[in-house]
Amino acid sequence: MAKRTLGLGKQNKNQKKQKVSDKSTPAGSPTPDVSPANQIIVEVDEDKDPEDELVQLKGLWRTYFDSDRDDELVLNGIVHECDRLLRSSNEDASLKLNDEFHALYALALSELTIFKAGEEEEESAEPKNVETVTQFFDTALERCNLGLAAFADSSLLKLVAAKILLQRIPLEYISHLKVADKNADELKLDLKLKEAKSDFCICSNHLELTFEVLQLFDDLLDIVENFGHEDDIDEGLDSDAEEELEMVKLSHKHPLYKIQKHLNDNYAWLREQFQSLFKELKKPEGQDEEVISKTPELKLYHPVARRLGQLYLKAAEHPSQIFLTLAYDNEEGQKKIDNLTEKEAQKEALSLTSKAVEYLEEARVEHDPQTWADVAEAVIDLGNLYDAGSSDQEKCYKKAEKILTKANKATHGKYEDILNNLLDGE
Amino acid sequence: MKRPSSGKGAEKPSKQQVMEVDKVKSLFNKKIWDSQFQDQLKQEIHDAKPYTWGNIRDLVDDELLRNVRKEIETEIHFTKKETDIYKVNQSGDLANLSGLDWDDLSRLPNLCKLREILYSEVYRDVISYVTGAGKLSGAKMDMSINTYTKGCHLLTHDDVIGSRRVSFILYLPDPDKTWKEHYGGGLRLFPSIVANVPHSDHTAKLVPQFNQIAFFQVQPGYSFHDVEEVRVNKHRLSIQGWYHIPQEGEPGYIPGEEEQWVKTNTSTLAQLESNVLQDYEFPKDERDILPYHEVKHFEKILADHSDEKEKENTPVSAVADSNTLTDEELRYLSEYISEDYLTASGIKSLQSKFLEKSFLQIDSFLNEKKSKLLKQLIRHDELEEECPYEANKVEAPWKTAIPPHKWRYLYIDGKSPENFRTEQDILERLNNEELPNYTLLKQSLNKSKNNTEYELISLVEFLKSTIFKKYLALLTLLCPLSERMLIRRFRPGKDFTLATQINKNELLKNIDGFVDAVLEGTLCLTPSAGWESGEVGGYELYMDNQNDEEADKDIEDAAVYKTDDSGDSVLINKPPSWNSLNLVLRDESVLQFIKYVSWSAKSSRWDVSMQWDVKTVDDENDE
Repeated sequence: MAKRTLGLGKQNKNQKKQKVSDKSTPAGSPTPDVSPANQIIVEVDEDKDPEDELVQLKGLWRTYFDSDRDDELVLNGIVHECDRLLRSSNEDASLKLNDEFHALYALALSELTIFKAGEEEEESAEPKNVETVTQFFDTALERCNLGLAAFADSSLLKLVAAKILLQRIPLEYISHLKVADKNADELKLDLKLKEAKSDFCICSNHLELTFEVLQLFDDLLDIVENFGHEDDIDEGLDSDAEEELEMVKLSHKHPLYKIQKHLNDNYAWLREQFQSLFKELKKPEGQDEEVISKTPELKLYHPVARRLGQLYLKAAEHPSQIFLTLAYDNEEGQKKIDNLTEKEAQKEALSLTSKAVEYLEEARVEHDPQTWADVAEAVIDLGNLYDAGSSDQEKCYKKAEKILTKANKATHGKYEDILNNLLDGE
Repeated sequence: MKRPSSGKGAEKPSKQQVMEVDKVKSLFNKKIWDSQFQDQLKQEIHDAKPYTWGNIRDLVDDELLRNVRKEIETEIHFTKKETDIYKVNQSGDLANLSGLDWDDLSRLPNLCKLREILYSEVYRDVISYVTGAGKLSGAKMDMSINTYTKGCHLLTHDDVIGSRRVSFILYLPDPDKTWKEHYGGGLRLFPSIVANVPHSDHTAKLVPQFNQIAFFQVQPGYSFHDVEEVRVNKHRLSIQGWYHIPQEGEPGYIPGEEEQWVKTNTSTLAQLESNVLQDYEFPKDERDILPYHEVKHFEKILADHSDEKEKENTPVSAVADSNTLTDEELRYLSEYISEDYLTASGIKSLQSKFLEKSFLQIDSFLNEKKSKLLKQLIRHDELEEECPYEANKVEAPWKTAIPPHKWRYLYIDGKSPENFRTEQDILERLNNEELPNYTLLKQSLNKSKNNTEYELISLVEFLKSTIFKKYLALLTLLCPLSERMLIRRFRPGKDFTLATQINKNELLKNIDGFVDAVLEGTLCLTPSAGWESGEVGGYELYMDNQNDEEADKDIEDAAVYKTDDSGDSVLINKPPSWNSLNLVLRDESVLQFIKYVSWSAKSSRWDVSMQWDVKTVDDENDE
């Protein structure tokens, strides 16, 4: 060891020299770089036997699940380990494989598709990788089904089956679709989605995975909603987030036609599931941040509440628009839009937006002003829905002003513009 | 520091077809040919603050500019570039447009036409007249296209490079929408306290609109400006260009004028490096020498060769002269530092890591009690207290770091309050130098109002203690000779430091064992999340400035740190975090900076910045 350190720059220079001289040695079997980055530290639950192979497998999956998920090697490691355990269990009757084993095996296989699809993008001319993605998904589902054959009541395996399907629909199918496609009968994506929905269940022991599966569903609906607009979003120099894009009209033979047609029902289903998940969660109350981050039912409370709030706001958009048009922008004297009268639209929009406010209130985090502003913005929406000049409306605006003033102070003026708009309107 | 466009691409184009004067004039708004308009503009520019600048709305034919925008949108590829001074989407240099092949010309005919009229003699003469800048070259064209998207910015600089005489920016945001002030992206102009020392805050700002041009005479030491960060997901597209001193063969050409100009105007950076300007930098990049009676203990600790008997007979001073920590020292250190880092094995492990890498990253450095207290206080300040964004609103014990073409942040340095507004303020301070005294400063605080500052200063008192420095000597095996401590706060949408090399201590360089490097410590106390990706800046970056081929002293381009595929030039990139201490022995070849903190960051970056000059002590036992 050096007597004293050299200084950052010199150290770097020396290392570079070393690298160069390393390269000049004859290339035999390359010595693997045993830097700490190449080693994985697997944490296992405190109360579990660290020597237990299934406990280790679970730890390995956890390592991947909690990471940035950019390390294919960890997944390969899991798959190899599963293969090995499977062989051992055939030879050694004392090694009992449980449903979790099958679930992790299937999850690892399905996650590998992300890397395979990435390779596919890089070598776009290679149809081989498309097959690989298909194969991996097939194998993952097969593993799930084998598990379910042994553990028919396993909610975890059902959840994993739903996860695989929800990941598969966009990755394997939608990514190759064009607006003009008419192969609905061949792909049957709506049936696949239906299957995923029926497989889905809230897994109390795997809340994070449950949340993730719902997010996959959420993303999928978003993809369907924006299908055909991908280029509009990326290209136009001034694509303005404030402008809503109309959904692209699809032929009824298009694989996404039916899903698009039932988008509202699907969003309603998603809200229901999120609500069921929310019931499993606990509101963090003064616990240490580290404790919260390690306890799924605490950790997920705010994000699930927030998403629920956003989903209710989204649901309220349509009736709100109808109400605002009929009430304030109705020069032609229309009585109904989409079969809703002004009053009906107002009632529906108010009920949905109030729900949104409730959830966003639950999502409020003391040290995150964005979560306060989310509440304020929803409250402004709510205020807009009450009769003009009514005390309810005033109450909403006052409440929003108070929250935004505080949030604005906490964020060096980030909400100045919204606040000014609100005050100008008064 | 390198400017966004170095002007290297400016060249004399080969022959090109010249448009008729009438045709050129017809492509401009006809008001600019009106002498009354010109005189009025000339007067406005003359009277403008903080220096001569002007702008014209609806400059060129609307259709032409819309077509240019369309061409840019469809034909030009932008790449996002980020350095210490900017983040921007840059296109290739357009100076050699006329040298493009016919294919390319046909792709960008409107842009080519625009460039031709902007450099036409008849238009140049208008700009020359209204700015009073003298004749401008039409041969040396120098333009680039940038688009500033969310998070993009360009920090304060004066545009002084080569033969530039007038800078201009023609704006092309969405032609059908008004660009609103809260979108950001404004052009902001800074007044100067004295030449080359701009004020911390701008005094003029232009909110750019489609087809608006802003321009100013390049004035060494005065024409400081920046581009405010764009805050929304919109493209603030602009064409930036310069008019140069007339070239040989052009009207107004004076032999030797350009050479003289370039010679006189050393770059901003070179001026900053000169001694006089260093006087105008606050806080000073210098470390105060420690009293010898303190240093001699560190020497003994590092050369610990005294026998046990001798130790027994020696009375204990602030620290015991042995290379282990006494119970009393441990008790003192554990007031602040996590126990894990105080055990003999903990220290040994840190020591060997530091020896191997020349840097150490110590997470959860402060113990839980102190960490919790400080986090609660800093968070409270972030969420409940108004943070001053203008230098004249900054209150003691905080100060604003100047000048803004080198850095801007809030800091506490343990000295008397100051808030420089004039040259005289600075001269008075320079005539009355003082050493930091955090203890005295703490006593002057109203604890109920400045509770956070009170606790942060207590932390600095601890870090300045002899016992902590003994601990530091044990971790690094280096003997501290001098020190400087700053409590810093980098506000979102406001603060940064540009890349600098270490400022060596001239007074200590001849000391035996003096290490040609500075030991730096940054204890980051940033209470918010969301910094990891680097998108919102605030990270502390150490990069290699070694150039093996040529010993180029000029800090050519910090840009390479993001475009260098090998990643070799980045030595350390540490995003803001809570309670982590970075220790680095930084030698001369290493540049360091804190990236501008984006407006969308969730909080300020808070840290305690420490520096020590160090020397080695020979361990006689080993010899």
